[in-house]
Amino acid sequence: MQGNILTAIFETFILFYAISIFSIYIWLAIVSAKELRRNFFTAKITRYDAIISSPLAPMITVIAPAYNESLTIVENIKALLGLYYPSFEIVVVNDGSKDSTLEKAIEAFDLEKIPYVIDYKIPCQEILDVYKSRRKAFNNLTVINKINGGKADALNSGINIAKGDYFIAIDVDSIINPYALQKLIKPFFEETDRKVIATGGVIGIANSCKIEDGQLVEIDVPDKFLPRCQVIEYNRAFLMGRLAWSRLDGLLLISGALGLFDKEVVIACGGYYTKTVGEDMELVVRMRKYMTKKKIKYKVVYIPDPLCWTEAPSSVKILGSQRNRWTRGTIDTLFLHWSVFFNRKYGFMGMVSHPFWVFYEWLAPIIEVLGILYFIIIAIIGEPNWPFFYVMVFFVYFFSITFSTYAILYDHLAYHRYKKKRMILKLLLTAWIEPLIFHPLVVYWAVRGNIDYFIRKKKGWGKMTRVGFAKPN
Amino acid sequence: MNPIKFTSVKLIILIGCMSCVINLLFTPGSYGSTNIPGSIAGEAGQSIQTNDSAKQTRELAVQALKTDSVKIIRDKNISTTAPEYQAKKNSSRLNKRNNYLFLLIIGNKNAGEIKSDLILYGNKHLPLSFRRPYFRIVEKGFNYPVILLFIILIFFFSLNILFVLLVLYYSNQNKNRKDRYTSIYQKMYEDVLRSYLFGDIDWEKALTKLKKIKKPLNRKILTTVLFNFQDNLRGEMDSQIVDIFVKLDLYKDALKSTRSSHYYNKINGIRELTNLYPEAAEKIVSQYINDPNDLVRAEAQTSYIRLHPDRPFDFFKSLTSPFTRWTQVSAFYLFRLHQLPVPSFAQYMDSGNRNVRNFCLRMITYYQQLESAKEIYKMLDNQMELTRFLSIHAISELRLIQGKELIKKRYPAETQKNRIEIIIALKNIGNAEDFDFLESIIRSDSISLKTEACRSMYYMSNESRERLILLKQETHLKIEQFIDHITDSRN
Repeated sequence: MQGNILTAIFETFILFYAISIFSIYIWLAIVSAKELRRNFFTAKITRYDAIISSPLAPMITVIAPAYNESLTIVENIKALLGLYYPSFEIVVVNDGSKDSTLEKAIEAFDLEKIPYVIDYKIPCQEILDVYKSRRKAFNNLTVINKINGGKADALNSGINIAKGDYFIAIDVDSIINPYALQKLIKPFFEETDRKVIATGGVIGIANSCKIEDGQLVEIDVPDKFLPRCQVIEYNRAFLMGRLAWSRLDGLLLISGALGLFDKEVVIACGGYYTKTVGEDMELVVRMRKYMTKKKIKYKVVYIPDPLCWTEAPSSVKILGSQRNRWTRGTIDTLFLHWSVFFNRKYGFMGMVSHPFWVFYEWLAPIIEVLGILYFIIIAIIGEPNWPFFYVMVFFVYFFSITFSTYAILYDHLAYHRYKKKRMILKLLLTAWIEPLIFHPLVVYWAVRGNIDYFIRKKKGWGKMTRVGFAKPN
Repeated sequence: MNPIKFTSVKLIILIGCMSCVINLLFTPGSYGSTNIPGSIAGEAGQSIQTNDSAKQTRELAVQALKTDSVKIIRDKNISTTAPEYQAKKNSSRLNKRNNYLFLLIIGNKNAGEIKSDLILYGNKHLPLSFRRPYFRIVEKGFNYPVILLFIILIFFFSLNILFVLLVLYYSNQNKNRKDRYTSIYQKMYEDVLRSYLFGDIDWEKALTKLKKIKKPLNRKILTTVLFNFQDNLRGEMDSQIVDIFVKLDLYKDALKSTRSSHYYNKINGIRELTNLYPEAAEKIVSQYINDPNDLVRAEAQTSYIRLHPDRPFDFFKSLTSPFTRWTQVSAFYLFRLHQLPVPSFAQYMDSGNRNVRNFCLRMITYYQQLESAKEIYKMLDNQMELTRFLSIHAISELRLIQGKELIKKRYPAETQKNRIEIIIALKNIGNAEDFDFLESIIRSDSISLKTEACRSMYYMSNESRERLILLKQETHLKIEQFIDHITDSRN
């Protein structure tokens, strides 16, 4: 009898959970569509020529942590030097690389060690040397060499050196849109009654794209299946998720690959937290908490423009390692800021965003696996309701395809990135296969991430090998 | 149209539809279990039979089962008999509520009719081999209404996918076609209007050569062409371009746009009028200076500057809405681009709008308006950190020595950022009186303040530099390192 009650409760929970997750996704997609439409028109009438030559433009520091990036470091720095913005500096942080990252940068940009007094406003590993170029053309380039401490620590070192009022945190191996700085700074300049503390943009996948001199020349759909699945996944996440969260003022994550931050607020918060692998999300949550505590009206803005292109993992092993890390980072952040959970004091973040992340980002794969296990048990010991099962499976499958197809449509209407029909067709076909192959893998890695976090207490980043866009010198 | 590509799109659509149909036809059935949400759904489905009309439906179905073709499916699985339904009839109120919800959606009577129609359809049209799974689905669907709902939703999703595919296909086609069309007509209009502007042809001839100018899209292209001309051509042609804009009645389109409820059209209208028909724009722009829409307001504010070269910032006097920093940058850009005479910004410093005050401080600094000193000093007591920062910066950049004591007095109460600015200011306006002040900072703990204090001491005068070098003797201050740092011009 008790068993029946328990199973009934579990079944009801699963049903309502599924209904709620579908409803929330549809709601987010609708909000995103509205926001995307607004941005589409706004982009058409916005003129950036004013900021490009303006002495009123504030200085922005581009912080690029580099660890064992010898393959691409020169090309990447060159690409950063080509950003269109009147006042910016680049701080490349060599985070104790074991390869020739530093040597290659020194050679390519004629760098020399300079005397530098460092103000450690935020604690970080010791900065050993600061390098500047002898050539005036690279006047805005600073390379610092420090003891290895991880990405968050490298970013903190960069913040300590940064001269700008704002800094942009990037992955050095990403390709930044030359107009990214002006687009990212715009929201900071538009708000008058609320302080914008951070902005982020869409991250595109550059596998199979044509790249010359560190610049994206031609966009194409990745040839390999896994990166292609990630294109759809990123579209869904950025265009149908984060955009809506930004509109609703509940954005908790600015991607580590590209984000512009108010330096003063970040320093006041204590910089990046170095003991987590989800430093990007953790910082945003901490900044939001800080602003709430200080009772300052604030905003975290997301720009639906593909401002950064990154190489997506194309091997199962590396992708698994990345997803495992993302899961651990999410759990870490959610637990570090558990005080926010359903806490009215934190407004929308406390009542909606944080609980959403708990229930639908962290717990979703676990509940999915539990549901599957439960069904397997039922299939073995009893007779499951097969018609219902099949219909449910197809329902979920079709929902997934519909959602992915809309993500492709959003992308197409907003940016017209994939110009050839062949490209769209490839993506559409991937959307049909992705739920069957890619999704189970993602769920598996997420569960592994949970196991690694709670049972194996794993804290590291895992191995992340990059092929690199540029050919080796 | 590329037939191969079109076929591939059609293929996808076909696959979508087919998979839906296949799902429905080949879903096997197995009855009588309780499991996952199926149990809830199942019970909900069974309770449908508590309704009289549903009973009728069942009778209809049973009659249908008596036909030859339905005999095929009369096996153990179809034994969901009346007593079983009766036993489960009294299950739970929740189930009944589910049932009512379903009936509400599909209609009490309709449910029975749909089922009997589906069975009849199967009997008449389906081949024998398909009938068995088909009847199972129908029977199951009407026993478990949630299944039916999900099937409807699957259809809905399939239609959605179909819709998206069509939109993707046609939007792509349309965009490409529109781009081609625009480039063809843009080139044609450019050629004709260029010939007219350079005097090669007269207006009558030009007018005959300007094809399809009644079409809204072509009128937009014409306006774009005129915009481009205005950007690239100077002198007499400026007024000729305005003439063309008026002669072709394009200004009427722009006026209409300014009355649009959509901000995008409104902004385009304002922009077109400002650039191509300033007389009409003057009357309209003032209305939007305090518009609640940020973008419309920003456009109106920058347009005002263009339209009033003699008093470009007079709108500050009536400004009750924010003057965002982005608009400030745009305004300043236009102001410089059109080389407008620089007004005295001090006159706007008593504005109640903090954005205006900050902008004026920036402009005073940029244009070195020394006569604004009094207004700058007043702003040192402002509540806003940024305003005070800009005032200190102005004192520094304008070398207002009288302001030195004022900022030094403020130092203890200031924020870190403003303190640094005060120290930097002393580099420009400081003298021997300030050595002790700077030395006290050098002896403090803050590295940033110390660095700037060293810099100010080092570059203020020879005397101050000597004083700083004297401090080297106190090794714990590590002045050597700071001097090395500040003397490298790259830091």
